[in-house]
Amino acid sequence: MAQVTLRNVVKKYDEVLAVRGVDLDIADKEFIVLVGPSGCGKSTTLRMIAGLEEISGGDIAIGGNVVNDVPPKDRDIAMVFQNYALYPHMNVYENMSFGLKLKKTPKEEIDRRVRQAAGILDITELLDRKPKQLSGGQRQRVAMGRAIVRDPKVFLFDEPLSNLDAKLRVQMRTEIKKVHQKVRTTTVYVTHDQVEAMTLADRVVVMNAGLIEQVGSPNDLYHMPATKRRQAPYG
Amino acid sequence: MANVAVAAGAPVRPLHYGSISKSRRWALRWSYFFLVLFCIFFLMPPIYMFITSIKGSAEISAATNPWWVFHPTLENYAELLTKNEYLIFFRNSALVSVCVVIISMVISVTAAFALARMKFWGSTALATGVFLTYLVPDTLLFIPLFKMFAFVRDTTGIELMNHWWTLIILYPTLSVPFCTWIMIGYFASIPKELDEAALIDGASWLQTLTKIFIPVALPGIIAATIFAFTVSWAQFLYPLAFTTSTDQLVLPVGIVTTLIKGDVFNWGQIMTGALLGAAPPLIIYAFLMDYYIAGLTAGATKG
Repeated sequence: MAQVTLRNVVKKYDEVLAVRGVDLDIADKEFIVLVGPSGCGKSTTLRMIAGLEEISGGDIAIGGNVVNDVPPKDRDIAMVFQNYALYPHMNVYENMSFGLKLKKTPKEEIDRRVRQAAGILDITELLDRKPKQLSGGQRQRVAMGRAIVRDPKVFLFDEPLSNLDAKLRVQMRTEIKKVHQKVRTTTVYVTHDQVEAMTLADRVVVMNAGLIEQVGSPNDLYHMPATKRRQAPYG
Repeated sequence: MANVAVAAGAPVRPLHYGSISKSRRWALRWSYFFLVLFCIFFLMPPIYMFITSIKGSAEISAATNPWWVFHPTLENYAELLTKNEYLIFFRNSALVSVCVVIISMVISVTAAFALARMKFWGSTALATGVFLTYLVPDTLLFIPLFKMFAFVRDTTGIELMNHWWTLIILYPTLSVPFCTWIMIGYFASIPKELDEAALIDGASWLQTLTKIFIPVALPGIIAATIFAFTVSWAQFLYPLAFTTSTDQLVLPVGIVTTLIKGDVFNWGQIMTGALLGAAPPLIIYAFLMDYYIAGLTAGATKG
């Protein structure tokens, strides 16, 4: 359990500024959604928190410790990818326990955690299956399960629902919300879907062109959009 | 198709219904025509080898129908398999090929992983360079190799000429570039998120390679293994140039140099030796065929 702090975080690709100084305080147990058009820097911001992208300037702190030069595995985070990124040659159980095995967690502890996470996500009967035998929704659950078993300080979601069809998306949305209410882990969630942002978030962070335009609860955002452009989707 | 429909009790449809089935029928006819043509073309030499191998030398030189055996005999097989030299060629070939496969695969898998995934300065140029070295024909390389061998002998006193194990050092120059190229393509088709997930899960580069990439890319690895084996098993020029003593020869060169004495060609044994020599790659192909085809095509689309 931890808060995440971003201080004037900058990302430069050669001469292009993808993220131009982002300041953000994410409280412990909070569900934050980064939303904005494609290319606005929301995914880059998430990947910088994960440690998959080096930051070009500023500071990122997780749980009070600056993690600028800490490799991803030592940041105590878990990430769910848009295309699930399940290991295709391992079954669900092995997929979920891979990280714990690498940390040399005792076998009984791994088993307990995997079964607990599988219980939360309702995938206990899928544990022996290979990813290719699962539907999109089930795969996404497994990907979330892989994140949950590690009991990380922060969950990072990178557009986890955009590969699913509309009906499943709604269902998984409630699922994610439920999981968050159960495990209460600080969560950063990236999406370009306004509805997803409004329904999931404790606070929504609206980004555009590498900058934060507005931060607020879904309610604030709905009633007091900061810019004309923000008003458009809500009438 | 019409027969099946009738048998199942379905309404009978006219045999010619529409241009699609007609053009399909013609396409099938043409494909069968060419398939048969190619089968004859490619199977003729091995069949001829087999027929000759079970003939006695008198029958081979007699002016009879070369495609028919009047007095089948196994004397060529018996003679060849009891001949000490031939077994030595076989042993040399097997040892060389197995070692070359292992060395090539270790080098090319690790190299391909580095070139495909660890974006470092010059990695793209290096990957292209690896492929370009594959394009250099071995006929151009063996004269510089002679020079290098002489240099090694002059400086270290190690004689590289006329030893079968020298081939273990030489063949990877042919197999590694192509295997690396296959593996780069294969690794590149593995989604980037997979190694990022492994990275977050706490895997080191080596663990990502051994626990994720190698199992996922297994069909590609098998394809590369078959390639490396075939290259080293069938290579002719290098052993011809660099080995001379009978006990240092490998199969392809051994057959040619020991079974042809001056202008006397011992055809029966040459054919037998070649046929037996072709068996190991054939057996390996047969076992790994399914994987091999998957390996050749799977790189094309996202895995």
